[in-house]
Amino acid sequence: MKKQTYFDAGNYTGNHLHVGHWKAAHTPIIEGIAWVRQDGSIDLFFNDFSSEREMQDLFVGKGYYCEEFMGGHIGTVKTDDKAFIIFEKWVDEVLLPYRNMKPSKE
Amino acid sequence: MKKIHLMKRVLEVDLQQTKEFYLKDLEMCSCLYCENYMEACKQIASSIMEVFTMLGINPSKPSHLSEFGETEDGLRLYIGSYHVVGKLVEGEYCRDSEWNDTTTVRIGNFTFGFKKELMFAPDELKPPVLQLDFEARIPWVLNEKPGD
Repeated sequence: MKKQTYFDAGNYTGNHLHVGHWKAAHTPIIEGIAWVRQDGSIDLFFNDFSSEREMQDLFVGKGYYCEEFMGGHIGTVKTDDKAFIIFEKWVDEVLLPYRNMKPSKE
Repeated sequence: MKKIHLMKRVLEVDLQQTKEFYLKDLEMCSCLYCENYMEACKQIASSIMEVFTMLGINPSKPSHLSEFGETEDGLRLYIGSYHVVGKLVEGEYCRDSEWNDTTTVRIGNFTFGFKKELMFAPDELKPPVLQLDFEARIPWVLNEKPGD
């Protein structure tokens, strides 16, 4: 729920990391993108939605910033390592419980 | 500098300078998620408050704070940092890649670690400056809910 201007393109360097979550060889990889900001911090985004409803339930409906290109803003971290760790935590503790609880509906 | 024993570590801290910094009118994020953390800080457990008090920190004024969604148990995962004037004399620093039971200390719903590398340390604090990173699971305490 940061102000819109926080997410202006000019605030990002263009550098980004692909942060993945997978538990075993047979499980699909869930990917997020960590965009590096001009001040060195890193904004974690998720845009690998299984449905419009998921995007609505996890981001738009909860007041989190969400747009077509970058996706939903998960949060801000300060290092690459933290981006990987927090993305895994978010998938394990927020995304997967949601997906296991609510079958995807369009 | 005053020598203190805290979370199985020995630190030297300048309580006066740190307290003076946290007394200032610092600009804080006014988003609902940050406001929830600030409000929750008013009801913080005494064991956690003791950590902040010993370091001279006002917990409602973190130098970095981010919320990462509601978990299954209904709590919110927050990460953030505070800065204090001081240094670690004995004990382990943490790194993001080494955030584990050896490098951090869990007290209640907070996990703390001291970091040598500084990020977003306020310019007003004179070296030596130490960064206290945390992860916390915080309930939603505001009447206003996200998405209202």
